[in-house]
Amino acid sequence: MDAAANFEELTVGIENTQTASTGPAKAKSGRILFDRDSRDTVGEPFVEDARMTCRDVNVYYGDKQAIKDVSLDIGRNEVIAMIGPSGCGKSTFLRCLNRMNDTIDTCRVTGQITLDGIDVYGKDIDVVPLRAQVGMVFQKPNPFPKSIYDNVAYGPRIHGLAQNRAELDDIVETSLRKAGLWEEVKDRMDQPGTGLSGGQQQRLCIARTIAVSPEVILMDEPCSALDPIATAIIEDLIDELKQQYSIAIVTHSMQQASRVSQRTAYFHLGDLIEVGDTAQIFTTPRHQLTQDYITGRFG
Amino acid sequence: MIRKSILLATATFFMATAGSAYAASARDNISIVGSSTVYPFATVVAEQFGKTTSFKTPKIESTGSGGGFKLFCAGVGVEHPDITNASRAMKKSEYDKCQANGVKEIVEVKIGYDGIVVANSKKASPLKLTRKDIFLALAKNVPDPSGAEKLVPNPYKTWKDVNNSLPAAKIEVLGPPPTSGTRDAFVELVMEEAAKGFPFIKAMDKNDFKAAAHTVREDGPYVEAGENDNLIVQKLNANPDALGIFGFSFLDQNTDTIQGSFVDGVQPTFEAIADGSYPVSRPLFFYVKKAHVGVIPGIQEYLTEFTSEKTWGEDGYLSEKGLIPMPDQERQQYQSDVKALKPLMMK
Amino acid sequence: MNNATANGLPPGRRAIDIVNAGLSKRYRRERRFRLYGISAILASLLFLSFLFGSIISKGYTAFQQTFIRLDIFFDPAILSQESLTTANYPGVVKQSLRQMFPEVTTRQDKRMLYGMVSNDAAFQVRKLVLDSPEMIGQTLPIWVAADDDIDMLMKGHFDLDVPESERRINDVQLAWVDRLQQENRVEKRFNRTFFTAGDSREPEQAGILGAVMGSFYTLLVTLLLSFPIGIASAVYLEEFAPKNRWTDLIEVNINNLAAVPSIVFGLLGLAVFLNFFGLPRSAPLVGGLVLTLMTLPTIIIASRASLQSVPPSIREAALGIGASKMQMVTHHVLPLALPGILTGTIIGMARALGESAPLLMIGMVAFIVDIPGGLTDSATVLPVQIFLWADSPERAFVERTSAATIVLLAFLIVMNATAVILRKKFERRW
Repeated sequence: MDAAANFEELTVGIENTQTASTGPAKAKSGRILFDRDSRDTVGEPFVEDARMTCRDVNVYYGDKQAIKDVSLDIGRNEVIAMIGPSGCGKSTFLRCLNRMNDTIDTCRVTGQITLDGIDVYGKDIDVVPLRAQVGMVFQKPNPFPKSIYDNVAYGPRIHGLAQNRAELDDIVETSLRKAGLWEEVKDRMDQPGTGLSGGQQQRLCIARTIAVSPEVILMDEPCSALDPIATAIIEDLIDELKQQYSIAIVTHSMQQASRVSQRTAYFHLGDLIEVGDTAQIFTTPRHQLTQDYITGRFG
Repeated sequence: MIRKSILLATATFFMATAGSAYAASARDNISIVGSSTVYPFATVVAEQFGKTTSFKTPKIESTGSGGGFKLFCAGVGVEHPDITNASRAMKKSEYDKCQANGVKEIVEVKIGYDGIVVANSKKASPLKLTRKDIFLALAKNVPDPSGAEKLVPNPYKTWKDVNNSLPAAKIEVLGPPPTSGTRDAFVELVMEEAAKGFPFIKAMDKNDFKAAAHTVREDGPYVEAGENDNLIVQKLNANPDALGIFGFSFLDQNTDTIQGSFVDGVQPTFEAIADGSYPVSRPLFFYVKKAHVGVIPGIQEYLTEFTSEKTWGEDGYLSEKGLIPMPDQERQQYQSDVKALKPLMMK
Repeated sequence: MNNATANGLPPGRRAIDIVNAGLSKRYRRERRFRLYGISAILASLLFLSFLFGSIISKGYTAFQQTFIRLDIFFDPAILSQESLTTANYPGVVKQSLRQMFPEVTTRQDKRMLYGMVSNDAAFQVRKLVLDSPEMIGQTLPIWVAADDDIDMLMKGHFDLDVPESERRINDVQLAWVDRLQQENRVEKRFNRTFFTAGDSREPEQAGILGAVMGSFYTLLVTLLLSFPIGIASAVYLEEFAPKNRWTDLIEVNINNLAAVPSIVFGLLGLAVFLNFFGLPRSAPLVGGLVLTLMTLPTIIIASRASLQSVPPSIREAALGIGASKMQMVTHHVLPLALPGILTGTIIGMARALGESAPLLMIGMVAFIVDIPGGLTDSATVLPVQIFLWADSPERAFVERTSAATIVLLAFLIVMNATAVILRKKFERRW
C-alpha cells in the first residue's frame, strides 16, 4: 500500500512516472506489487513525444461514472491496445478521444485530452476537423449503403480534400491500397459496399477512415465480428498502418493485443489499472487484477 | 429558429395577400348556401342556368337552413354568399342579424311546396293514419289512455293500441334526426297540430305545450335514421313493417317500391299536395342579397330562370323533380316581386 | 439417472420425459393460436369481400350508359345561320322524335316522348352544328344518351310487375322502348360522360371529373405543404432538438393531433383560413391547407419512426469521419429513412383523399358543375361527391354512388399498394 500511495504522489510528471516505472525491475522477479484493492495506475502511462495526452479523464453517464481519473498517452506511430473485461470502460474511453461521446446527451467528460498539444475539449474546438484527424473504425463493419467508391470518397468530398475528380480517384485508390483492398475491388468500384464480405467491409471502413488522412485511428474491437482469416488480414494491416498513424485499438482478444500492439493498457471497472510494454504486461503483470485477467481468472 | 420564424412570417404574408387579392377581385360565379331540402331543386335550376347562359354555373352548398342564414347574414361582399335556400321562412332573429351585419335589403322568393310523407314498403298494405294517430304513436308523453287529463309516458307498442282500426303491427318509424329541417317541419305540421286537438294540452303554457308536442319518444319505436333519405327508402324495402318519414321527392322517385300512407284521409300525391288537401306540406324559399345583384354577374338572370314558368310552373322541370308548384296567382305575385327586387320587411 | 439428480430434478425423473409429456400441450396451444389468427383474417376478408362485392355489384352498371339513335334532321328552318349559338336545338331533337313516333299527338304523351332522351341531346346537337355548320340540311343518325329512367329500365332496375300507375315508366313508354329496340336504336355503351363530366343533377350527365380534379388540386396542396414541413419537423425533433420537457410536450401534442377527429380541423380551417386570412370558400387551396393540418401528424410520426430505424452504426460511421450533424442527416440518415417517410406520406395522403368531414366546414360540400381549373376555383372532392350523390333522390344515382366509390377505392388501392411496394423494394434489414 505504501508503494501505491507513493505512486499517486508521483503521477505528476513524466520523469516521475519513469521513477515509478522502475517498479518492473522487481516485477520481473514475478512478484506482484499491487494487490486487488489498489486502483492506481501501475506502469508507464506516459511517453515522450505523445500524439495524444489524456489527464485525469472522468466520464459520467448521468450519475454513473464510467471512467475514473484515467491518464494515458498515445505515442506517435505506435499501436496501443486497450483490454479489460466487458463494461470496463475501454470503449467509452476510446470514444472520448474523438468526442464521439458528444452524441450521447447524458454523457459528461472532465479532465484534459490533447491532440498535438491542443485541448480537444477546448471551447473553440470544432468536432468536425477533430474527427477528421482522429478517425474511427467500429466494432461492426458499417459501410454506407453506397458504392465502394463513394464509401471511400465520402470523407474527402465533405472535407473538400480533392480539387477534381482525378485527385479524388487518387485518394480513393491510395486509401484502398493502404487498406489492402484495392486488388479485390478495383473492378467493381460502383457496386455497393454492403455487398462485400465482413472482412472486406471492415477493410473498406478502414480505407474510408484513412482517406481523410487522420493522425490517429481509433479501432473499437474491429475484428470481433470477423472470422480468423479476415482477422489475420486486418491485424497485418494494422501493423502496416502504424508506420504512418497512431493507432488505439480496443480488443477482447488478448492474443490480438499481444500480436498487434506495442503497448497495452488494462482497464477494470472504469479504472486504468496498468499500462506497459505489451510483452511485459502479458508475461509479468505488476497488478494482481491484470494478472487475474490475463490468466483467464475472470473477464 | 430564426429561419423558421421567417418562414412562418412569409407564409402568413403569402396567405394574407392571397386572401386579400381574392377578396379584391370580383367573384364570377353565384354562391348559394342553405337548406338540404331545397338543394335538389336549386341545383337543377343552377345547372340549367349554367348550360343555357354564358354565366358560370352557380356553386351550391348544402348547409341546412339555419347554417345558410348564418353564412348569408354574415355580411355584404364577395366572400359572403349571394343566396341562401331555406325550407322555412326566415326568422325575426335571423333578419335582425342580417340587418346588424349590413345586409339590409333581402328579397324573399317562395318557390313551391314540399310534402312530407309517411311511407312504407309496397309489400305491405298502405296505412290510413290520422295526425292524431301519428302523434300518439310517436310522442314521448301522450294523454292518459284512461281519459284523465294528464300526460303519461307513451304506452303504445302497436298501431292497433293507438287506433283499433289499424293493423296490429309493431310501431317502427324511421325518421330524420333533430338537426334536419324535415324533422322541424314534421314536428310542426303533424305533432303540434295533433296536440292542439287535445284541449288540455292546447291550454298549457307555451313551454309546456312545446315540450308536450315537440318531444319525440326515445324508447325505440322512433328510429333516427340520419339525414340520408335514400337510406330510409332502402331500409323500408328491407323491412315491410316499418314506416319512414321523408320528403315527397324521394317517394316520387321510388313509387315502384314504396307507397305513402294516407294522412287524415289523403294520400300524398302531387295533386293532393299542390291543392293543399294533403295536410303535411311546407313552403320552400330562397333569399337573395339585393346588394349583390349587379355586382356578382348573373344573379338577376338566375332569378329570372328560377321564376319562369318552364322552371317552377305546373309543367316545369322542377315539378319533375318533385317540387309542388304554388297556385298560379301566388306564382305570378312572386314573379313580379322578384322582378322588382322587392325587399323583405320584417318589423 | 445420475445426471437428472445432478440437475436438481427429483431422482427417477428424466428431463426428456417431462419435456415429452408437455410437448403435445404446447403444440395444441400453438395450433389453437394459429386457428384464431386464421379465423380473424378470414373474418376480415369476408367483410372486405362483402363490402367490395356489394359496391361493385351495385356500381359496375354505371360504367355503361344506354344510348338511343335518333335520325336528326338539321332543319335549316330552325337553324338559321345568324344565331347558331342560341338556336332552338331542343326543337331539333323533339322534331326528330316526333317523326319517329308520328302517332304521338297529345301534349301529355309528347312530354313523355321528349323525356325519353337526356336533355343533354340538345347540347350535343348544338356542339355538332357549331363544329361543322355544313351539316345543316342533312339528316344524320346521332347516338344520344337516354334519360336516366330509360337507362334504369334497360339495366333492369325497375320492377315491371307493379301496377302501371306506380311505375316511373308506363306501358306507353315501354312500348316505345320495345320498338326502339326492334329497330336496333338502343345500345348500351361505355359511359364516357361519367369520367369526363362534372357534377350534374341529371344522372346520365353526371361525372366525376370535377371531383377528381378537385381532389387532385387539394391533395397537391396537401402534399406540397405537408411533405416538406413533416420531414423538417420530424428531422428536427428526432435529430436536433434537445430532449427535454418541451420536446416531450410537443411530441405528446403531435400524437394527440393524429387522433383528433377530422371535423375539428375543418373548424380550425374555417376560423383561421376563411375568417382570419379571408381565403375563398370551397377552394382546393383551403381544402389542402386543412388536410395538411390533418395529415402532418401522421407524416411526422411515420417519419420519426423511420428516422429512428436508421441504425446508429451509420450515424457513427458518418460522424466518425468528420461529417457534421447536418451532413450526417442529409447524406445518410434521411436517404435511408426516405422509403419509410414516403410510405407514411402516402398513407397520410390516402387518408386525406378519403376525407370529407373537415371539408364540410370550409364549403367544399357543394354542387359544382364546372370542372375546377386552379387552386382557388370552387371545387369539391371525391368522397364529398359520393356523399352528395348518395343523398340524391334519383334512382340512377344509386349506381353512380357505388361507381364513384369504386373509383375512390381504386385510387386508394393504388396509393396503398405503392406504399407497400416502396417498403418492400427499399426495405433494408440491418
